[in-house]
Amino acid sequence: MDDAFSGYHPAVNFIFFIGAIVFGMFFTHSAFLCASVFTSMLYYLLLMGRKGIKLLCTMLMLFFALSFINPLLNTQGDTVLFTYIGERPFTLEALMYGFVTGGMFVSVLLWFACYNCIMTSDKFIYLFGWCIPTISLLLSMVLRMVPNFKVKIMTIAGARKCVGKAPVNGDKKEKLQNSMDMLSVLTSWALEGAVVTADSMRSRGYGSGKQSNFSIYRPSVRDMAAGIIMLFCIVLTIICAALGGMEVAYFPVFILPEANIITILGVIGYTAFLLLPSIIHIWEEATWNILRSRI
Amino acid sequence: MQTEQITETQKENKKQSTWRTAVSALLIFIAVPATIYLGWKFADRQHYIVSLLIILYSMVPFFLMYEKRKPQARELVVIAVMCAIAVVSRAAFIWAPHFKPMTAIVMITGIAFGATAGFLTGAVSGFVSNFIFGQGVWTPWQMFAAGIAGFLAGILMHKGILKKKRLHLCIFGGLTVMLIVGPLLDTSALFTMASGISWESARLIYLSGLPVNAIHATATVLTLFFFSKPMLEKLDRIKLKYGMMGD
Repeated sequence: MDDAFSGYHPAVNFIFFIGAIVFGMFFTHSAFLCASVFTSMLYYLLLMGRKGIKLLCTMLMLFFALSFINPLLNTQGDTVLFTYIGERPFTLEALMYGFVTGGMFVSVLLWFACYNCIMTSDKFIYLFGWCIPTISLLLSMVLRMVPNFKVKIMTIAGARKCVGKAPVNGDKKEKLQNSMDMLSVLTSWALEGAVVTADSMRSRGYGSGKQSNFSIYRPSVRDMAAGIIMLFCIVLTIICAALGGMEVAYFPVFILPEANIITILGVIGYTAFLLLPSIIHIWEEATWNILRSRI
Repeated sequence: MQTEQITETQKENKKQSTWRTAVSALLIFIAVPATIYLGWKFADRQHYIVSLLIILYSMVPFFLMYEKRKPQARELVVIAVMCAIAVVSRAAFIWAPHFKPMTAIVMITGIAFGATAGFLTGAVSGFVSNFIFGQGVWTPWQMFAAGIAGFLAGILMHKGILKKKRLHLCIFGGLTVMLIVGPLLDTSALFTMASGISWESARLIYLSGLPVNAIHATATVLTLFFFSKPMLEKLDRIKLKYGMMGD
């Protein structure tokens, strides 16, 4: 993963994703929704390259499925497109609202997919270590133990295979019993290790002073600049929302008010905010290519 | 010199604990109504984000409660081990699709170590397993659902309603998954996917969730049936041998 935005300070990354996801769940205005859907698609493709196309296709199918299910469940709206079984109307407004639901769902899902690439667990622990020291320690221990225990499970399975008690041997009941036994062995092994770890922690002074946190990040001018731009865009978007620049009605009739200056400014601010990581990514790639071509 | 240091830390602790209580109170009495109001006023599909935020807020007091307790190293590591076992337990059942023993292990932890530890184990396991399978809108819901399963097991055990008998545990596990954990996860699907909360959309989502919940409940009951006795014995032995979690 060589993404330029992920090299920024974790706080910048986190604020961006919180903003993108929360706004993505909030706005039902068509322009804002489209901005969110397309920018999330763009950034996801930039992150994943060709591998991302598969998920995008799934998302597209999901989008249409959700959009067309809505009018079947929701019969509000004045413009009836057609009726089916027993005069049940299929309305244009409900279909439009279905598009909103589908678009919202897909964009939030895609933002989360990007989040999973950028916000690794160490960044999360770094950000929240100061206010929940015990739980962030717990989290980092669990994150370490999970791969460790997976290896242990493989070891146990290998040993048990020699005596014909691997989890794949026997009929259903034996399989179940074998798997449970494996978990039981793992528990004994892990708990034994836990006590040793805990005693070692104690003798190194856990709990005797103020707990410090893992930290390899330091905010730089670049992070500040990105943060300020983001905050500016967020404020612009919120002002637009507060002044009613995103008002749109779906029922009983779909009304999209004429775009006024507030709405336009809001859309620009919102799009700029969502495009920021993509721009950073493309900028970095371009700089790299230009520099390399000079050699 | 040393006593001075100790009083210093105590002062620090006290300051921190009042700070945390204040945050919990603030969340429950101000943030929840404010979120509902703002969502109702500004968002068109308010239930989506409002429900998510309320689920998040409701977990905060549990976490802060645990922070306040300043757990010993042994207690902390044992809980971490239980979380990790809950997360990897799926790997022991690769041959059985959709067999998830996580909830059962969280319940066992709740029974052995109390309600707070049970909630924490559930929430942390839910969170960490999503680092593997991908975070999403569902993360807080899954954390909360698993946490509540552990919390209920701990509380009912403490009150003496639940006994450490195989039959009791199996009935409790099956009912909790069918009536609380499963519906909670279905509700998250309802809030994220349905465009409006109507009887029809709710019925559709809850009915389509039934088979999944039934499989989940079966896995929980089976795990509790085979695994609860050896597991509880081990945890009790650890508690006795090293004098942990004596509360």
